[in-house]
Amino acid sequence: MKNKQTHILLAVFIAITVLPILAGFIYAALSAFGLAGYLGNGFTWMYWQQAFDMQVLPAIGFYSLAITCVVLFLATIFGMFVVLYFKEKTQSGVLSYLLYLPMAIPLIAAASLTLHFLGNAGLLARFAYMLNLIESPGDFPDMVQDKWSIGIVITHTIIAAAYFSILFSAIFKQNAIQAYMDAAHTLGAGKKQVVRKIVLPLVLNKALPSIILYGVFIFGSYEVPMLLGQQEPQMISVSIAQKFTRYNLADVPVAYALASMYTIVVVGVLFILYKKGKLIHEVE
Amino acid sequence: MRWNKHIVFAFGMVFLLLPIALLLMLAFATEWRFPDVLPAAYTLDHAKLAFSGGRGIMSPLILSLGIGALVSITCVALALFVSRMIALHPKRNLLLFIAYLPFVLSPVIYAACVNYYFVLFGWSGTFMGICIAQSILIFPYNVILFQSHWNNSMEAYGQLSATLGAGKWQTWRYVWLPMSKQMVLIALFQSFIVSWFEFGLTNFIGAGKVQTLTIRVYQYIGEANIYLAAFSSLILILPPLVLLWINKKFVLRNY
Amino acid sequence: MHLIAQDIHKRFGNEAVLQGIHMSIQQGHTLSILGKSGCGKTTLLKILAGLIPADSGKVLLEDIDVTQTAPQVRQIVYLYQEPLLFPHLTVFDNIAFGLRIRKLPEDEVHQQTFNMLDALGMRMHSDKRPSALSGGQRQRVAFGRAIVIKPKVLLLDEPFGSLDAETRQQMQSLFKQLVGTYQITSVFVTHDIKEALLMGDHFSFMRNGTLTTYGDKSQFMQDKETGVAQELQFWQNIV
Repeated sequence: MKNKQTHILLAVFIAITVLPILAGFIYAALSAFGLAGYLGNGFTWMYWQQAFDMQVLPAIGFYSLAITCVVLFLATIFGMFVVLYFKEKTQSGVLSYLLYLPMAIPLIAAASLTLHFLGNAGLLARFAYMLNLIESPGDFPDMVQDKWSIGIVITHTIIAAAYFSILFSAIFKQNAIQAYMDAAHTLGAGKKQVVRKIVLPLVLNKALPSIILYGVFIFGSYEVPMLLGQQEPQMISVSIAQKFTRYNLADVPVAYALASMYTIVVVGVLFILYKKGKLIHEVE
Repeated sequence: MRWNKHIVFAFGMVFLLLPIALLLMLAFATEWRFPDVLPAAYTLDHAKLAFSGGRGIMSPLILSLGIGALVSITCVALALFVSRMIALHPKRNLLLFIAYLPFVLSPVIYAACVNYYFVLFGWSGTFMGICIAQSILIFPYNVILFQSHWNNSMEAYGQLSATLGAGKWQTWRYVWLPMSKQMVLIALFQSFIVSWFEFGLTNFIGAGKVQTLTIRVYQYIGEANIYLAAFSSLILILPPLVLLWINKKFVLRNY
Repeated sequence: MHLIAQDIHKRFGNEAVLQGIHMSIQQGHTLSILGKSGCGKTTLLKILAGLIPADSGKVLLEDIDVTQTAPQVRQIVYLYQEPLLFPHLTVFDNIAFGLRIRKLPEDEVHQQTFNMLDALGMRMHSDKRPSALSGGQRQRVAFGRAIVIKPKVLLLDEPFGSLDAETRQQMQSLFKQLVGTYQITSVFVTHDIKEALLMGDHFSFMRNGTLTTYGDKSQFMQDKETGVAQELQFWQNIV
């Protein structure tokens, strides 16, 4: 009786969670090897070679990774600053609510807002004009769809910083970090030493799994780089999605090769977290 | 608090409120051309246009509400039972590892990989198809969300209820379900918002035939219809703002 | 004999938690089991209640083998150290829980529940939520909720462990009184020597998964293992 229920529920879980991933991955891999899909004309390495020939790794992989690392770095600094500077204010009161605002805005709207703020005719450019810094929209430096991906980084950093502030604040409270800081102060540590030797190691250690998972999310993010990125290079989700919509059939297996690689990387990262016991916390 | 701290605080608040202020101005502005820092005049025309039918947001709005409601209710209900089974399962950690996967994979890439099957089964571009597609993200999310709920204390309540004479279903009905109310509410709202915001996967599986509100916003942006894009974005952020007002827990996603 | 356990064995992985437990209790009596935490007390009680299966051995209740019987039909109530009052129910509804599960007519539920509230001295709190009660009050309600369904056996797992000394004393005498009034058969597990002596009619000592039962109180007190003699010596030395 009990076993029967367990089996039914396990079947539901497998049907909704395991099956789609497995089936999707198998189809993507088969397509990339030329064994499925419209161009499935027998086994070939061609599409994988194409994926690498176009220098996919530097152009898409490293680019996505670079954006991810920059955002995580900046957002961690901002988040840490907010928590250390405002302390209890991040737990209750107006700020504690406002910190949630960036997360209440869907990414597609956030990206379009960035266009309105940072675009050539955007709000910032208008202030620049008002202050006689520029004479026409063309004078304003490119900050969206630009070479340095400033728009993508800023948009992601604001949202991530807000999330990290909330995350760090919760860790601060749960682990009574303030008490450790006080103890260190009474032992003679200066402000900077306390931050470097107490706060950063304690908080970052606890927050690391969440930061890495957030990194995986940025790595595969779609809406923001789609609206704010330039034509080349593209972040991985945009690159893959475009290959499907460009109506060049030969691109599709290459996209599947990329999707397979992406999936393997993400599963790998998650697996490392899982093996290190950082993914799932024991329930008391 | 020192005065410079007040200034930083005020600056931070303005910074966080600025996006919403800009959305509001855009949604009700007319003729907001470079180099005006503020709109020349305000109007309700965009709002009227948005709700006037045709290429407006009325049907996407209803569609998004419908999908969100159906997906969140179904996924939360299933996950409530499945998550307890997993919490007690000897292979719990492995199952949870699997549950994390759909949740961290890029939805649009996930969609690209499973799209073949959706086309095969005739689900592509249908209401049902979108609901199924979103469920494969939102169901495992709820399984993870409910893990901390099924702790030792919940099991002890279940055992106590059994020794007091309650059968399995009575324990669910009179003990576990009422005790899960708060958690279920949080899960419902979070799931709704994930569905409400979902773009990459929905757009891919929808194949241009299913127009949710986020997809409509994207189209407005693509058409450079900035005022309608802003107004519909405003509608889009309304549910999360209301929920945030009620309880912060309703909004936060745990990455 | 009312409740009998025969040769109960239980392992968790490599660890043998119970190694051949024999015990028996007469109707209306209380058996005190003294033992440190981790000696297998909780496992034994959960097996008696049917919450976990034994690897081998039998549980007999009124001469009927209930080893395979589901907990909800055994009529053996297991009480934790935590009172575990249902947080979504009032004091009244908590006590009425078992009666309503048995689908008793509502007027009977009311009568029995109010009688129990009176016996507990909790009538004025009947509409309160558990969160509004003190630790001792909660434990009272937990007792009432268990006793009102007239269980065949009551199993108590360190029920007063989380109470302060004074409340603990009050609860001990209330328990004695309830057991007498309702003719309850019970197993009382504790690590407190004084409490074991106070609550029981019979006495056992549990260690490393084995249970020693004594013929009477003096045998229990004389066994060096139980620590009673040592405790006695300490107080005598002070005087």
